[in-house]
Amino acid sequence: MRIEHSIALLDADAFFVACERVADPRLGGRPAVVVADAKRRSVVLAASYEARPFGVKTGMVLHEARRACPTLTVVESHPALYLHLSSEIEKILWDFTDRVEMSSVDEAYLDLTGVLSYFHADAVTIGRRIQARITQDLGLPVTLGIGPNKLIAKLLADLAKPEGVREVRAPDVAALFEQTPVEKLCGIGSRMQAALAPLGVKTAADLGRLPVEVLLDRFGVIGWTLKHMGQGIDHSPVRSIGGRPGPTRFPGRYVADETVIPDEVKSIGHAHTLQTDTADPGIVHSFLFLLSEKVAARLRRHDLAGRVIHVTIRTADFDTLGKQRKISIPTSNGPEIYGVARGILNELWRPNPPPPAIRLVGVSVSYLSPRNAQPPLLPAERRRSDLDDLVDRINSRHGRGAIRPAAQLPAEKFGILTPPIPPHQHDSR
Amino acid sequence: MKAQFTKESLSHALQKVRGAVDEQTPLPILTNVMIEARDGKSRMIGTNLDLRITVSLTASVSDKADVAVPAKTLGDLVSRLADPDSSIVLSGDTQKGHIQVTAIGKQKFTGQLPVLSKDDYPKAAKIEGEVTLSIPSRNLLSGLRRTAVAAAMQDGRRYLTGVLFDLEGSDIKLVATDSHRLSFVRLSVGGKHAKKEFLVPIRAVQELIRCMPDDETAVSMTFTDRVAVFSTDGISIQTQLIAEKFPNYAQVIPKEFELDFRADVTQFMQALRLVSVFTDSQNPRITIKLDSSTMKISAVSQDRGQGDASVDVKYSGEPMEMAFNAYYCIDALSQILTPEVQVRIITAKNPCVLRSPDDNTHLHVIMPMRI
Repeated sequence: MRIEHSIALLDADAFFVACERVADPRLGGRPAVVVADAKRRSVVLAASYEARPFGVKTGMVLHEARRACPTLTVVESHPALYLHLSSEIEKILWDFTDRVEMSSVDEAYLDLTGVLSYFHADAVTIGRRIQARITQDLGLPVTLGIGPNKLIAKLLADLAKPEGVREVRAPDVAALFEQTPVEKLCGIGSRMQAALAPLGVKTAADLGRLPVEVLLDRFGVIGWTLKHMGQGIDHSPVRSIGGRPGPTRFPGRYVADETVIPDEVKSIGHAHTLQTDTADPGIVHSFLFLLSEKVAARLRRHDLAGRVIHVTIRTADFDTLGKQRKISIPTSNGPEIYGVARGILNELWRPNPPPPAIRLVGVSVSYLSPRNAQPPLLPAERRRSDLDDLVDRINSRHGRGAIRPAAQLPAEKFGILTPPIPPHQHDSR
Repeated sequence: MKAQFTKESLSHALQKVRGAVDEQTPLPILTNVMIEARDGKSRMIGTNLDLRITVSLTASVSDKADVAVPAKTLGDLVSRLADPDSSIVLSGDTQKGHIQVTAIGKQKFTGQLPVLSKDDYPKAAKIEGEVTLSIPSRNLLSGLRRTAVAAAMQDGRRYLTGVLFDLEGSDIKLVATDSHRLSFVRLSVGGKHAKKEFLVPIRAVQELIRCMPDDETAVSMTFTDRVAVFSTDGISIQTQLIAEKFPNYAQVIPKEFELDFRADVTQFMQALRLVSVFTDSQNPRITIKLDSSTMKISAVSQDRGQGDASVDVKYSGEPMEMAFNAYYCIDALSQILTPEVQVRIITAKNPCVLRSPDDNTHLHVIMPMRI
């Protein structure tokens, strides 16, 4: 028997603007845009739904947007805030399924196939619960599109925006495709649309009806992909990072042919924009330590370790510098990552002449492999790894950060650009 | 200054000292090599402050001087001189900030090189409170090659990025570990020494292996608490020591075993190389299944497929299965120079030992992977 898959795409509505509204509720209900730098010639990174009727859209130059909408509120972007809220969304999603793929900062694919019977609910009901939980806990509006595969889920999310939940089951895909302009399919851009038009393709269904030979002849190997897209076929799995830590809530729910591929995720990283720019080495080092600890904890949560450590700094002048180093043994330990990151920082941020003030610090780890595949030989390393496990257990029981190294306190006191987040509310179900 | 060097002598010296010269460095003076043009005992020096390599030069000096010359420019010039019998003359007033360079031989060439004062060039460390030993270079190199494979090249824990010289009695033990594996070599140095440990950075070890002669030449080793100097007649390598405590390695090397097997090193190695086609450094796992008289080595890769290879072994225990990092096994076997290897096992979860049969002067300890 063929299982009908239930794949959802969660897409946060006007994500950057929504994040800024979490930080500053006065932005609510007004036409607003987020730009990188309000002073310079800047482009719109995101526009609120209130701004869109004026013709304001992503990619527009700021002064054009101001001309289109004189009452526009302009907010400078805070990437660290978006990353933070994105990771908060991800945490909530893990409560609903153990198949979560964060495909971008504001989009995630979820495989709900195995959890429908666990929740005794249909996909739309689960979608609404996810939506309610994210709105309630984080104050962010989201849309979910649900379908038999990622292609359809993505299409549905676009159709249901904003704040919608919409599902199409496999038997109804053909009817939907008759009415769907082909360029609505994810992967069909304006150039492809123009190339398809002479072949008589207007709707997605038109594309599905074209003989594959015609497509192969015109487009080469991607002809097959186009044919499948037109037929609503997409076999790409939802690829989680190694999965959520600890025993899963959903044991044995998945068919074996969909093994999770851990190395699909290339790197794990964290960055913070500091509360104010600083050239104080004590503060910068403390941030580097805090970020190393965060990245290490996340690596361990995903049961991963990595060999390439990358440090990014952005100076007060917006110069962004980065450098990486490859170590011999994969690590998931905070102080170990810090040890390497500190060496890299010393190269990027030399004390002589006086170093520039720093605005942002980031640490990421890549070249990932399973964390516990190779046990250490040295007893001291074994103890270190046991200690990490213990700290993780304490933090998962008593809340993240319940136990943490004192070396990160100066950074915490100094502060980052993050709004107050409502305390994590446990799902009562 | 005025001094004439043969291309051969300069090229030999540059090739060695540039091992200690970093192209990228915050201190511009360190991209230079120091040339000490003296009567009868000229030298070239390169350093990155941690490591310092000094090599003797053959030169005829009519006006002696010490001067720092850009390593890359001089190196490029010397290597592009096509005539192997040519010479180079360095001349001029070093206080002027540049000197003349002239080629003598079939190619006609003159040029000018910017130079820096010898006063800006870092001085060698003072050697005080030292221990001095002497050992045939070949023995030292063989010990270093065998241990260096197990050291970490790059790690925040610096004690993993070196080779320990553990001196006690008439032996010096060389040990390195990257925390997953460890290698151990015991060399006899004679005399009777109090116990003392020195941790030599892996980069200095690599330079020793590269620069020291693989013959019976005596290498003199001088250690202080912070510095080690290795020297022969023509070359001296000085290095800062790693100021961290090396792990207690004796407690990591197992002493009692439950099982062991023996295999032909070449066959074992060839089988590992074949099977490791299906591994990579992110997924280095191979499994080894032992049965009476055969060992099956297998690897599975998500995108490359899978492979098995079988090797005859001398094994009399129960059938068992273990998993290893393929590269650790290859590294260890590459340093076993006898026809046979003996692998000593406690259980599939404990560290096991690879060595030449019944030889305790050299062994590799490898922690198995989880099955």
